[in-house]
Amino acid sequence: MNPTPVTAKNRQIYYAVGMLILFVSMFLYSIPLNALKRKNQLGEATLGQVDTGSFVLKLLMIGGFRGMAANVLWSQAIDLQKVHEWDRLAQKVDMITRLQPHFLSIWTFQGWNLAYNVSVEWDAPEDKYEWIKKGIVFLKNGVVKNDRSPDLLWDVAWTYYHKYGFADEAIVLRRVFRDDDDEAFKTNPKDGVVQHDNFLLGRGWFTKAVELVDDGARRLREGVRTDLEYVDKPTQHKGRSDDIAFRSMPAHAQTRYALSLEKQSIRDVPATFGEVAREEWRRALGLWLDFGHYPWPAWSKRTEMVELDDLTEPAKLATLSKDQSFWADRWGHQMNYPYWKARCQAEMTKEGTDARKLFYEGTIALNSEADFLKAVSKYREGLEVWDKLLNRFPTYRADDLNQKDTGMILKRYFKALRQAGLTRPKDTPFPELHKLVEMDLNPDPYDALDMLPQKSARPEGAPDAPR
Amino acid sequence: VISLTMLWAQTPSLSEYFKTVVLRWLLVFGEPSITENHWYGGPITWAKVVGLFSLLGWVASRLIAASKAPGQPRAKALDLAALSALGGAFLCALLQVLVQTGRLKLGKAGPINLIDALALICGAVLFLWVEFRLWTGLRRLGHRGDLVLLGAMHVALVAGVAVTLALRAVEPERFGQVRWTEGLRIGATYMGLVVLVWVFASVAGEILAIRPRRLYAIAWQAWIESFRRMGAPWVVLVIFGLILLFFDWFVSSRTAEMGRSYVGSLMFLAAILMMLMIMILAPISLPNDIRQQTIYTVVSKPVRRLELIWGRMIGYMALVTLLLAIFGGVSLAYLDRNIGGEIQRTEAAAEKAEKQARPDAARQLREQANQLRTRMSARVPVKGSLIFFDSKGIQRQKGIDVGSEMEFRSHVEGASPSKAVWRFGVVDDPLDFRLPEPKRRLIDRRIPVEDLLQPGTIEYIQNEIAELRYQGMQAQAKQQAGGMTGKEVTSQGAVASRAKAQIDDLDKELKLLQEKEKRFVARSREAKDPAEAKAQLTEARKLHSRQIPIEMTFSVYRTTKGEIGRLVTASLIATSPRPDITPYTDVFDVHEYYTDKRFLPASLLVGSRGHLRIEIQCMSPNQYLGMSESDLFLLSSQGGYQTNFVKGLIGVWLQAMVLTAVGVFAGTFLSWPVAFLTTIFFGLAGYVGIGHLQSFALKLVQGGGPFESLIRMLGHDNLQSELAPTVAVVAAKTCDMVVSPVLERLVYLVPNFSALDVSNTVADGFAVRLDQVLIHILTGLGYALPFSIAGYFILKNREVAA
Repeated sequence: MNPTPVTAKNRQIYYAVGMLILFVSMFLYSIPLNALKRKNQLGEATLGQVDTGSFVLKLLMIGGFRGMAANVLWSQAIDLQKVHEWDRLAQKVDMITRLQPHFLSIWTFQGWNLAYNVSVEWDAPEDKYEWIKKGIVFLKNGVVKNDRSPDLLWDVAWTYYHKYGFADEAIVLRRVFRDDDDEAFKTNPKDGVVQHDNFLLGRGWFTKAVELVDDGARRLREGVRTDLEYVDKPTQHKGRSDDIAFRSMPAHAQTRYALSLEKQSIRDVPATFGEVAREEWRRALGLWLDFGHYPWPAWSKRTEMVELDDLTEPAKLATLSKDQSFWADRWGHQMNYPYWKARCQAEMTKEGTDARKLFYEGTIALNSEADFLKAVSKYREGLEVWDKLLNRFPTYRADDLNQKDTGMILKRYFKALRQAGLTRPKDTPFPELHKLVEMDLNPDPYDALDMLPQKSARPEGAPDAPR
Repeated sequence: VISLTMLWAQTPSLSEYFKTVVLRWLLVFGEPSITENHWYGGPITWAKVVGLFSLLGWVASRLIAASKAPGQPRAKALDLAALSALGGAFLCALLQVLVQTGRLKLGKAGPINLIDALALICGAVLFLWVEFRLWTGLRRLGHRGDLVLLGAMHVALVAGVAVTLALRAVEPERFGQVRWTEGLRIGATYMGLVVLVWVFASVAGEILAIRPRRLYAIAWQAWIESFRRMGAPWVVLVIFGLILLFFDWFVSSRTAEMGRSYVGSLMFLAAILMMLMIMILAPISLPNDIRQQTIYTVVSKPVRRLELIWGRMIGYMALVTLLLAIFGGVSLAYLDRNIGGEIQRTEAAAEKAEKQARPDAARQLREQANQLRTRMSARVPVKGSLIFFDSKGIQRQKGIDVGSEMEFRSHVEGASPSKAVWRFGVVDDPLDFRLPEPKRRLIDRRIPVEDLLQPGTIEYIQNEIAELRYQGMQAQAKQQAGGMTGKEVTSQGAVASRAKAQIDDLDKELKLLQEKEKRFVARSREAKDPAEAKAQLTEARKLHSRQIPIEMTFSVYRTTKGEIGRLVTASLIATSPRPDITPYTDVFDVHEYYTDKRFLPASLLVGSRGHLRIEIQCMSPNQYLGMSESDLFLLSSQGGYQTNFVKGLIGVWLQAMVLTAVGVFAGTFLSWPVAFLTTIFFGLAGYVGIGHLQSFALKLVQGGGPFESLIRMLGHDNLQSELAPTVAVVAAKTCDMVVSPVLERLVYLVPNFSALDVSNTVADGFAVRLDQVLIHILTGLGYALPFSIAGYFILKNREVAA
């Protein structure tokens, strides 16, 4: 094992030349490769922010090992979920995203998994809140690394909007959200303002997703590589030309915000009426009109454009072609557009907010103050205003969602009458609606006045309300 | 031998002794799958397994030696027969598979199965071949000791068969079905034990000849060499530092679980780095010495071969010790800075939230800080035995199954008589259903009362008095029972009177304390200044023992949402066995995934002799509480995590020791690349694959052996369905049948590193007990010693300086 110095030197030269050849050929090869990456929007920098930790990990798992490691981590994550090791699950999932940061399904699936499946396993609402937040933060990380994907933006928005706003514990979760002092989490991506309501955050993220689609961003654009046979064909769900529901979400979020203002939808936070509420309803109407005037290609004839709002304008509808009017009618009703538009128009009036305020005060008198006569008079007054208002908005009046809603108010009114020992007056408005909800014993899950036992309504000596 | 055992079995008292003691022990030492349920059970199994491997090693080495010996007799016919017997064994496997898959129908030739007969013949031929080669070879080599050993082994084999036959004769109801061929297995174990004794005898001289001076010299050489070779320790240190700098990138967690993930990850990091270093250093050293002929200089000195191996191990382990000390110190400082700071930050945030009227956030932050504090400690739990009562009040082994995938917790129903009861003391084992109730096995779950009550306090003295009274009563009962000699009566009387005198003294002391307490309480009532009153009450409280902390982690299963935001409540009733002590009751909210801590009055333990009963019921209607035995325990003490962390590092040290032994062993007979790969294999298999190997050995793996699994993987088949018996499948199954027995035995050879690991205990905030550490050390030695001694034998018989 004693090579002579000459051969050693020769060998070193061979190595150096070999390295040089490899380096040059790699460099030459990378030129067309980079061009291809740019063309198909597949470069690191074009996909989103480059993460150093992720880069290091990928470097360690040279090439093909990455997929194997991700597989192992994924099955470990599933096992951890089975044994309720939530924190370790979150860590494992984080590891996977570091290995495959541009694989959208991981972000979508695990973000949903954390926010929906893991949070439900925790008993206390504030713990649920934290896991939903973890899910949202996870999805937002995905957005940072894949900033051209409307899917992920939409998932973020949906989790803010739906998981906080429509959970059984929504009134508590929204309170914890309101109290959360994490400003980064509550900053609206649209205007950079810190907001204390999850529906507003939802609106901001939904709007951003829609704008991204309008911007033409579809990373996994269909038809980029038609010649490829995919094992799992990547599909772009959100923002497809026929995905109408996607575009309606900003308006939905804003509407939800406006109607949540007018009840105690956040525990121990009083409702808001007057000009503030009217302004929010006005904004909601604006968003619905934006949605209604967006031109969609008719399904049967792609060259003819359809606007959903035409459904609410009979005069214009009559002038449209057969395809246009058919699809305006079909899609308009599919989205229940006439209801939402009419609702915003009705609720944004002074009578609208006045009636809601009277209903709210009636409920407080009934459930908290146990002042039944006051409740009766508030409900009565409110129903009269409501009746007059709805006469101006026949679509809204006839809609069954509204009928059920109004029926519930009637039910409370009748309960107040019963408690006050009064009989039902003959001239009560909407007499027929009570029947609709008579058998429905469920409280309104998004109204703390209805959902939670009220402190003053408890008998002396009863245990205090929880925390 | 057989007739002798029969003769014994006929005399009644002797036969009884023979049946219960001698035969039982012979069986325990002979059957590899049986052992005693005592501390010595493990070592017996270890001896049997190591013995069998020694037997294998001995036979193989002697066969090789015999084949190399000059003047080997030519017995071509026998060699050919052995070769065909090997082929025949393979044929047996193939036939078996064909029959199993239904491709072939074989009739029985009388009582004997054809395949069995063929297998028996092949086995016999192989056996004869080994016998012939060994006897002729050893005689030619002229090793008298080996010949004696071979003879002893044959005696052991016959003894095995004899024991089996004796078992059949003596206990036909238990062993009547056992075939005499089983005796060969027991005989083989005995043969292994004989070889093991021989191994001990031959190593003993070598061990006695070891000199610390020479060991030190070799160790020092290994130490210097490891620094020279790629500066491995420096590299490891730099990597550790680098990873620690960016630890946050990879480890992040909620506050509550931060301690757990940090401690766990730091220990994992230390273990991985040590393993990597050992994998590179240990297997390369000896082969390099041999290759570069530096071994000449060493072996020409009077250095023993065992010193060559153990010296190297000591050198590497010294290095591991130094590095682990550095890792441990740095890790502790890191943990102290990060976790300590986090607890303070969270508590400050909780206070802030409280002030800002954010009650949910405040509660959660406080829970998180508490949880982190709990995890960052060394708790010593006192565990009870759990039984359940269902909603009709009937005792059950388990509660209600709510369909959770995780089965170890079962549930009690809310607002019903259903409850979970933890019993402390000497109680019957609820899991033992083999015997009728009055004869159930007892388990000792007594509370160490003396540790929980502070000496000099009211409860401590009361407990002492009760204990003395109990002793007095016992003496009295003995006297009344009669049957004692006069001397015993006097001694018992002396005990009783001494106890009485002691009780009187203690009574006086107790009265003094109680009066003192009354004075403090009276003064606190009279005090005008509330601070003064509080101080007096504190003084009064000091006369009592501290309350007994009790920790619980229950899970919640809701069938309805209940009142939104309201937690499920549970009740706790703690009852002393003494009827004069009022049970303690408590009602509390259950915080799922957090530790609920409550306190029991110390008076509950007075005179309990370690017995206590704690009942948990769920108070909220329609909701369920999930619990398992380890979900509730008394806290006997709660120390700091630092010492515990160091104890945890002992686990890493032991893992490194075992791997060093494997590495040095591999280096004794393999070239360095192969030795290196072998060590990596053992490291990986012991770390990652041991679980799979265990389930493979227990035949819990679905989808067949490696070859069948390969076919399933390639064909995207599931694990359960039977594969169609194609040629490929039959071939794969046959290969599996040949390979599987070897793979199943691997579980005995591959070190189970997780058995040495205590990082989870440390990370969960439980104290690592001394007996646990001792068991781990024994286990580590149980792996390291056989490997290093096997290495010694190989090195001894190898011409290293040829």
